[in-house]
Amino acid sequence: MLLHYKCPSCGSDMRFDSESGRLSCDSCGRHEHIDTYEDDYITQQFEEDEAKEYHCKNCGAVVLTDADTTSTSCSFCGAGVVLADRLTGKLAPTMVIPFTISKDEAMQAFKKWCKNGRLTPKGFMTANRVKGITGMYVPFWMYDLENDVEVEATATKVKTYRRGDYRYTETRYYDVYRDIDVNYLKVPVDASEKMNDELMDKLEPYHYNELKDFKTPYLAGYLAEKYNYTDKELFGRVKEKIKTFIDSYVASTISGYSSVQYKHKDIRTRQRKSYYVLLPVWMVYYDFDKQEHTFAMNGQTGKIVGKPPLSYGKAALWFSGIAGGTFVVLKSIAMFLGGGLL
Amino acid sequence: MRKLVLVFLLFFAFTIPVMADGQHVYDDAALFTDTEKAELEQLAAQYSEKSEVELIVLTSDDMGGRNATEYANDFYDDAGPGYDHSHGSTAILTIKMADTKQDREVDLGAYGVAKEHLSDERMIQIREMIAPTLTDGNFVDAAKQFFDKVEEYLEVNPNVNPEGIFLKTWFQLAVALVVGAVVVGSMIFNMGGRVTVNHGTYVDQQNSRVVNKRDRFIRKTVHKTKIQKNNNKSGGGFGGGGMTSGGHSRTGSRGGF
Repeated sequence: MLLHYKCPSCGSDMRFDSESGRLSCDSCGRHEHIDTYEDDYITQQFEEDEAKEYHCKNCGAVVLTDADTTSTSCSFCGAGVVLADRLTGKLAPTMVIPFTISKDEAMQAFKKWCKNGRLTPKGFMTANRVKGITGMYVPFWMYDLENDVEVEATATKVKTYRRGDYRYTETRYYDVYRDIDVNYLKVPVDASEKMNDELMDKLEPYHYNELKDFKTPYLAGYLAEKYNYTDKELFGRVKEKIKTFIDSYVASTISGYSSVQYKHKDIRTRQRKSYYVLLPVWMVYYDFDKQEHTFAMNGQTGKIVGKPPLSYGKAALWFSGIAGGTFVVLKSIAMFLGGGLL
Repeated sequence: MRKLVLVFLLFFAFTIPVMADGQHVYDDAALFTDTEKAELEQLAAQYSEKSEVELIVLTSDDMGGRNATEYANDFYDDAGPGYDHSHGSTAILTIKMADTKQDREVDLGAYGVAKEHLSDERMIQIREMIAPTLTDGNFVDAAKQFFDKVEEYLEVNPNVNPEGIFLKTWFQLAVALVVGAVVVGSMIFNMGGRVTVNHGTYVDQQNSRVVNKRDRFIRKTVHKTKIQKNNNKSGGGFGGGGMTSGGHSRTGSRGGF
């Protein structure tokens, strides 16, 4: 099933506008609020299930899609198309964070970021070789997690003092036990096979106050994917992800000691809820030195991640600058205190 | 006007030679040859002028029952040396020569303003450096080393150990390289963006707490180490500071060689 969003005034195709957060019509400039946009204007078109080809209702061209795509644009007329049958039933997202950064803003931000690259080769900074920039809703699972943590540790407090001609080092050993309940809300893990997990993890955090109930018009004009992994399959990954959080929290509850040695740490994690959400990401494909580099930008906050090429010359320059500067400073302090030049 | 110039010239003509002309080497034990003695005299005068501390070398094989420190103190009381006034800033190297090794002593003492930069600890450091040279019978080199080190230490802030690692060039170089490597390394590491979420990002404050805790004291151990006093190396040393019988305070260090 293909969804088109028609403008109530002129009948053109509407798409989601990140600036106003509404559907907008490029022809007549009309804005429609997503909550009040009437279903009558959504034209539906049924196609064979699991097809990878759709006929654009607008111009009749064949829209080719990937098996995971849930939203795309017709490559001929540019009309935003949502593939609704891939967004229903088990595949229906519960929530979405809409784009707040437009394509132009994303492009500007990316160019600026390229210029600020202190270790990137000179040619990289011009950023005129962007091959493509794609706004994409990436499927994520968000987990509400309950953790019951039990920790036993041996901790020490060390005190040194001087009495007469002797220096005493007193070490006091403590048996430490903590039973901790720690809960996390909406920890996201990307559920798309195509997306690099490391890249997606670095895109966080998203601001959840803009989390909206899912409605298909948000996707109009963007690319969207459906999940490849279920929440059960990704539970291991989210557990791995919160492990460092739990470790730091546990450590913060055992304070005032000189050293802490854990004897055992039991973490029981239960999944209270999971949500299927779509989060906005700008993907930038960039050609440099015959290599393609992929960058991702958080479509809500503008945070950019991705490994840019490294200029060894610049790295060496920074290294010698910092090392040389440090040496001069140290030497000056030493000479001020009376040390010799050599 | 001419008279004035003349007065000035006379003033300089008299004051500088008076300080430079003073004897610096009193070689009663005849440890130096005449040329060596002349050389030391000249060096001592140069160093004294440069560091504004009167440098003196005393040698003796008969101290009349006194140890090297007492001998040096008495010399200071009687002769009253000093860079710009009597009983002023002075550093004295005293060598007590004897036939048997256990009776030989070396004393380093500082009097007046020089005390501030030549603390007991520093005098111990210098003494330990020159003692082996003395043991080898190389008295001239030991005296030269003494001048050299005293002059060097006088430049160094009293709160800093002059032989400390911080003043060593190799150490400064190593620190600089490590700082550069760490900074550039973290720049490279963070080039692709950093993970900026932590425990606080997703925690549910209302439902997270320590339910049960226990901090029970089990036992304690006490280690005791003797605080090393730096005066027992190279043939034994003795407390260096104190007072001369004439009432002048001093810092210093005495030991065998």
